[in-house]
Amino acid sequence: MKPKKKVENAIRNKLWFTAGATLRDRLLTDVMKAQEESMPIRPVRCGPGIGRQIMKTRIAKVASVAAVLTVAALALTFWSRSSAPAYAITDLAAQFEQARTIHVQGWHYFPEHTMPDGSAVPPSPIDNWTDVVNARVRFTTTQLTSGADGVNVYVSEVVRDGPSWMRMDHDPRSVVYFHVSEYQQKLGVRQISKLISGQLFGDITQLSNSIVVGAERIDGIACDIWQSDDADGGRSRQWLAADTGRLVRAQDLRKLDSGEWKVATDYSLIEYNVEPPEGTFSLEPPEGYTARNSPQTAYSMDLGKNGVPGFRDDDWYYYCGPKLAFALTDGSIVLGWQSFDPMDAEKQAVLFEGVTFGGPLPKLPIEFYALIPDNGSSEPLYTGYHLAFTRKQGRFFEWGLYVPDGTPPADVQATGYEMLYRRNHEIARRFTFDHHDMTVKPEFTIETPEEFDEWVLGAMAELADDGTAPENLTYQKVIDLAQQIRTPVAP
Amino acid sequence: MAIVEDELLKWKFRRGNPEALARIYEKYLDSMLTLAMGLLNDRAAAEDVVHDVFVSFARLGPGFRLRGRLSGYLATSVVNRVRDYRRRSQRQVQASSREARPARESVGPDDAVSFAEQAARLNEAVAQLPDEQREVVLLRLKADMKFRDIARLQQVSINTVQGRYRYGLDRLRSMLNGEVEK
Repeated sequence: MKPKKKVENAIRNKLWFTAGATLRDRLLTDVMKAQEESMPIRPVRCGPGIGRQIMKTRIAKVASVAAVLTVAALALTFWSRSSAPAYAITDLAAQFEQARTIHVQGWHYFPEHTMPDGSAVPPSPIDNWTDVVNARVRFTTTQLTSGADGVNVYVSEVVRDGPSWMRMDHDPRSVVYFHVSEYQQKLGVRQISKLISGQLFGDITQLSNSIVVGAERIDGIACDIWQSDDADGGRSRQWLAADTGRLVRAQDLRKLDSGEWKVATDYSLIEYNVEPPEGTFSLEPPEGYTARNSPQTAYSMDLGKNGVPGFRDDDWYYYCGPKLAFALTDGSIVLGWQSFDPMDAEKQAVLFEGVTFGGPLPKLPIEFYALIPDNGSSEPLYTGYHLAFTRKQGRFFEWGLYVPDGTPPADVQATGYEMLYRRNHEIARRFTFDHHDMTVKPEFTIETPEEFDEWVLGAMAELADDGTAPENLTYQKVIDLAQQIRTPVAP
Repeated sequence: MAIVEDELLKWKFRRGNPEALARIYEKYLDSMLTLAMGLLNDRAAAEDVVHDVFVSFARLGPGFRLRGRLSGYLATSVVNRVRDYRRRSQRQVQASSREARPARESVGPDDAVSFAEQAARLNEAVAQLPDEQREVVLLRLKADMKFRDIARLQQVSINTVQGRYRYGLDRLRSMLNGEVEK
């Protein structure tokens, strides 16, 4: 054997270090905890359309039910019957908000997959309860994995009651607790219809293409069947009572390679104002379930989005991305965002020196300098101006006002905004975000000074070490600034 | 087969499957630790690097997208972390010079990295290579990375990488002085 080969073999085969058991366990604990914290615990529809990543996108893509449903109302243009319906599909959000409870039952199916013996994958049950009044929620999530050992269906349930959330895994039997702040809890209550819509519709924007494709009686109720296709190859159907517009049934379908459409999720029972069984929202682990932590040691859920890693080659160095956003009535957007080196966030302090209200944004490594509607067009351009910044646990959050240079499209709150960024630092120039979604959708529209104080300043306070929002920031000042930016300066 | 398994692991990991993460961790912990040890020749630092790499990886969760190989991704993460570590502790590195420290000296009785005598000698030899050569040799031989990918990581041409590899092996052969023939 040539000497070079021998060296290669020695390095390959004899240079080897093994982690000891204690070290291995300690690291594994941290790794699994990190994964727990990164896991979304949001409602999910699943099934063969798992590739659609509904768990990730369902809520995220629902920005404003009211605005979306306004768009959906336009679908009446496509009304294919001679008579108009006696309801507006826009009433759906109100239905959800006015109900005391909503109960949804159904099944996930997996028509794109088979078991190793060729048989169908057994369906997975859905049993979701929403206590609208108290914003308590219990819903089923399903994950499907397939490999050499066949197809595995993992069913979990999530219970939310106040600031405590519990995820219950059935295989193996265990529960894990999460905790949200009072602000996050309030936000959840404020957006209860968004949550329910998310459970039932996924990307609700797909309703903008809805057409009525038929009629059917369900339990004696005459229903119109609405249908829409989404860009990801999915199809959504809703059965709405012809006389009241009440949502009676909903389905997700997937197109097989054969061209045949198959039901992936069937919400076959949708009930309103039914009393939930006792213990539905209990946060006690069922008998035989191991608690992986306790309500006292619950993992904290971050407010808003966590930043995505900025890639430098294949590794990440910076986290950046939107935190959360609110729309203003004039079409401007207040957006909180971040861009920091997780190992050296404190260094950013200098980048915020000298920034002023209404002035340019700070030159963070990645700067989200503008927004455009995420609907395929690049107009109008929403240019960012600095409002304030907050700092929590060594991380900085920039709060910018993004003012459009034209009339925002009607569907912009449904489609959301693409965040345009520039790289200000040398190292950041090698970043790529090709695989990440740099978009944001406002939580909702702020219409009054009181709402501004509660939600915008509340979010800022939430992301500040001292729990207070920046001083002297008011709704009127922000509205005036937007107006000033919009008004051309006289030559 | 390993690549096929990795594709499945990536797929499952993106869906938050803890078993997939545990499998990835079990599968690559030792090789990444070996890589970090080879690059740093410092057990505590190597552990920190590997810890950070896996914890950061776990946090990626559903946002994780990777077209390339998992082992390459993790190895690249280790290299970048090591570079970061070096940058941050530049003063200490200068103080201790380039002298290779025996990795075993900091090994604890029950919770530390264990390794064979020969591995220690090899590591000490590898530690004496210039950083660029050491990276190439370890990434090529311990992480099975292609020269093309290493070139991308080091931001040099593939010819430069192949040259570094050749020089690195020559130096190792010289330092080990026939030991590898045993």
